Amino acid sequence: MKILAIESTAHTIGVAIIESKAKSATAVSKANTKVLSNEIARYPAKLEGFIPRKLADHHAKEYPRVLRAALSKAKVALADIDYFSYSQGPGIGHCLRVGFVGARSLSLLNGKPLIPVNHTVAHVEVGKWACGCADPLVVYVSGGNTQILAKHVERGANYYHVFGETLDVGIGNFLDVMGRELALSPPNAIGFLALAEKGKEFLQLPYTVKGNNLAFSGLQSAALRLKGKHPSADICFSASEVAFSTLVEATERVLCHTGNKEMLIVGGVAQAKRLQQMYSLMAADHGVRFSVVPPVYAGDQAAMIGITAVKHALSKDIRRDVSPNQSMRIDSHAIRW
Amino acid sequence: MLARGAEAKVFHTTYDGEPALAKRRLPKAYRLAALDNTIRKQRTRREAKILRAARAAGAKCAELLKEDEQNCELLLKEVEGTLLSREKTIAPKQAFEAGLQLALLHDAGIVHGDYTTSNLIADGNLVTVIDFGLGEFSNAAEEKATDVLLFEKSIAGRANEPALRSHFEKAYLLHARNGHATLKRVKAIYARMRYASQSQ
Ligand SMILES: Nc1ncnc2c1ncn2[C@@H]1O[C@H](COP(=O)(O)OP(=O)(O)O)[C@@H](O)[C@H]1O
Ligand SMILES: [Fe+2]
Ligand SMILES: [Mg+2]
Repeated sequence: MKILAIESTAHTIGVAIIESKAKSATAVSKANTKVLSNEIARYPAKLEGFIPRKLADHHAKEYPRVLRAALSKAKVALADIDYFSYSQGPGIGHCLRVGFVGARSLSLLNGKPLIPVNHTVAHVEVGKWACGCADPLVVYVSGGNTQILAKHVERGANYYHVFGETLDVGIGNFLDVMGRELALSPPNAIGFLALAEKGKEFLQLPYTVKGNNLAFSGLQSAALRLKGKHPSADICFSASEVAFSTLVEATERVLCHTGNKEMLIVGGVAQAKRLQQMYSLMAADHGVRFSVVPPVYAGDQAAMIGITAVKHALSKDIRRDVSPNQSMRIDSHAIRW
Repeated sequence: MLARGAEAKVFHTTYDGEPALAKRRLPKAYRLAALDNTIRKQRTRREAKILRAARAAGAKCAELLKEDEQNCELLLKEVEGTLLSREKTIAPKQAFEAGLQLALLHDAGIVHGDYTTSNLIADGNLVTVIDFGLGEFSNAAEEKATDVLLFEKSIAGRANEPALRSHFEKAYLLHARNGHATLKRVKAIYARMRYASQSQ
């Protein structure tokens, strides 16, 4: 089957074409399911942060170009597509609408089903597909999300159960705010992490682990109070050491509870080298296989939506309610594979 | 070694000729040494202090025999029973007891910080609280609510989750001084978590 997928939940608009020869949802692998194209356009990081309306305008403007590029790169015609899919949520309302309208009209015009996909589930599924994991403990770290989750049976059905998460801001937002407030270049997580590597002196900062859960706002305000009093590099270094250590510790707590044999980190922040290093040390200590989602599939893109849609199609699990859902959680619905 | 938690390894030993347990917080390779040492010592010291206060307040918890902050080690009396998290089924009476113990701690100005079924040992209907490494002396509603939330998350998905939750909350309301305010705060945190997950 061929699937066209659209992603537009936040700062990225993307279109991907996926081809799968898998016989069942659990058999989906890199060998039988290929990404034919995976095109994106990203709204550039700005000092003022993100304004929902501007993001949506950007997506609407870029969508036709991205769509054409995805089709031509994949050498696939719209008529060859068996299913259309889109990222249903969670995300920014204005942005979600762009993907929804795009996918819905393609589905209606071509007379093919529309598969709504949970964006968070998609981050997990693309990681499992790319790294060949069967049942990993997953750490999903992106802008607004910091979740530690694993498949868990609840009342007879499988769910991605969230065992630990942030109780205030997502770790990516924390890194972005630090980069912006310290006026780094670029003024976001990337600038922050690059400067953190140059830090020398470790400054004590509040270390918050609440059981399996995390909180970053206390760390954020304490770190920003040091602005101007210490070199920015030392502030970045110390704040990233503390933030990542609390994240790895919370993960270790969950791992001791669930006993998974594989661990996988997904989402944009999974690209942070120091975080990967910490996780590999922790995983080795527990004899757990550790994988990191490859960079192309770490941030938001549409291939993850398409891979997940393949699993939905193969398990005949297509939600009736196709409209965007801003506050969808990963545990909002059962997982049928 | 008797057991391994996320932070500590626990060994059988003796103290004054009597059997005892040594709980040792070993270094974490993933943490910067400067940070790691601070945290392990701080938690060892804190756990000892809180254990004494909790026992003084009448809560059921392990007896502290000796504190060795330099080596990040505590000597404790072994508690009989099974970790609640390892029980195939948890009885509503055990959840009630867990709620009562939490109320005793909170009324003594103690928050546990990791109040999950992995840190409760059950012997029949008796429930003993262990592992105060993340504990704090605090009367903050937010901190107390987090303890309630952690317990509730740790029973999520169990077949009798609603009954466990209601017995736990009932005992807590019955015994905690500001029980209502705390449970209200729990609802607020749930709402905030939903909000956080939608505001990418
Ligand atoms: N006093 C005790 N009596 C019996 N078992 C204990 C006692 N203290 C700890 N344990 C066992 O050791 C494990 C780890 O100890 P814990 O204090 O929970 O440390 P961690 O912070 O590593 O979770 C516990 O889950 C439990 O099985
Ligand atoms: Fe995302
Ligand atoms: Mg413990």
